[in-house]
Amino acid sequence: MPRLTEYLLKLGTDPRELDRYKEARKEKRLQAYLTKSPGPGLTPEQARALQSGKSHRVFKAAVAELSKETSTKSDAFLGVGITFTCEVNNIER
Amino acid sequence: MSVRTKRGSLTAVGIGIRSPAQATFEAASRIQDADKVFSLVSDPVALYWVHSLNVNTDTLSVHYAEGKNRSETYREMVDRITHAVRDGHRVCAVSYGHPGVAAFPFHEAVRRLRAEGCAAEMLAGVSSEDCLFAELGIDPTNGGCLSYEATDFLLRRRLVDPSANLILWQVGVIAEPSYKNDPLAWNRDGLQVLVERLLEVYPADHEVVVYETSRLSALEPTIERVALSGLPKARVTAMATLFVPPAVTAPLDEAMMQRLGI
Repeated sequence: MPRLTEYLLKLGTDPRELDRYKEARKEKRLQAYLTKSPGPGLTPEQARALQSGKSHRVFKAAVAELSKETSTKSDAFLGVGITFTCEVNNIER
Repeated sequence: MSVRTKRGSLTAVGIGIRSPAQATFEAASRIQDADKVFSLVSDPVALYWVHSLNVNTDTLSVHYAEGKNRSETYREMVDRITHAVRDGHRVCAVSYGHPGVAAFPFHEAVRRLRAEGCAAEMLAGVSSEDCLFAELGIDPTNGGCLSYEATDFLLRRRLVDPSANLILWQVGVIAEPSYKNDPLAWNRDGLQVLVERLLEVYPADHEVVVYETSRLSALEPTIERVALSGLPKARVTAMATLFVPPAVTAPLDEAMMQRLGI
């Protein structure tokens, strides 16, 4: 199971877990909280990515995890390394 | 030879910037119900979620390539979506944010399929502008709100009303027709040009906001307040939006007040 990805989904859909996460961050014990098992059970590297507060680091860690999980499947996760896209500068004369 | 008689259809949905938290029930049900899902989302968590709803999901992100013209990328995406519909599939095209905001391929696919007599619709999603209103505490009905794509704003010398809120999209990718895999602004010279244009209307010390909402509930949005003249040195990402608050209050039209009985 991709623990980091599942945990990120949980943070987005479970306000109580989000509160626990924010409390641990505020009290500067986030690394310990995130690696606790039972609990989020993230690897130290994944916890550091989240602790950095940088979405690119978090998504990179998630892509690494998902790539391992889906290595025998189709190309479903191919391309997710591209973490931003934007509209063309549509110039019509 | 078999002839396909089933009528295909397209539903374009957006799943918000922080998905699935900002996805609507309507969008989730359309994803689940589709024969085929094409996903253009901006992060692996969103894609994982879409895939968990429907395993018949392909990502459109594969059409991006460093240096490739985005017009070509978008044409390929539109072709992929429309071909699947013409083949008789019930297709759901998923974008991050709102599928109709800064999302040419989705509008074009819907337009093209409707012109061919196919069923095609678009459902609203939460855009980064919606997030901006919430996270910066802006009410667009208070003072009004002008919203322009930054390159278009410069090229067409769009009108600015200094008494209204101004939102400029994609200030980090001004005049960039291709794609780069770099999170920071792709054209800092473009930012300088933008500042020069804005200085025609606003004072140099007018505070503006470089804004980017967070794509994860666990992280905070980027809200950097800088003087307008300092914008070229600010940390602007490729996805950043510039918010320019009003500099003056618009005077009331006394004659109109009388006419309306106010």
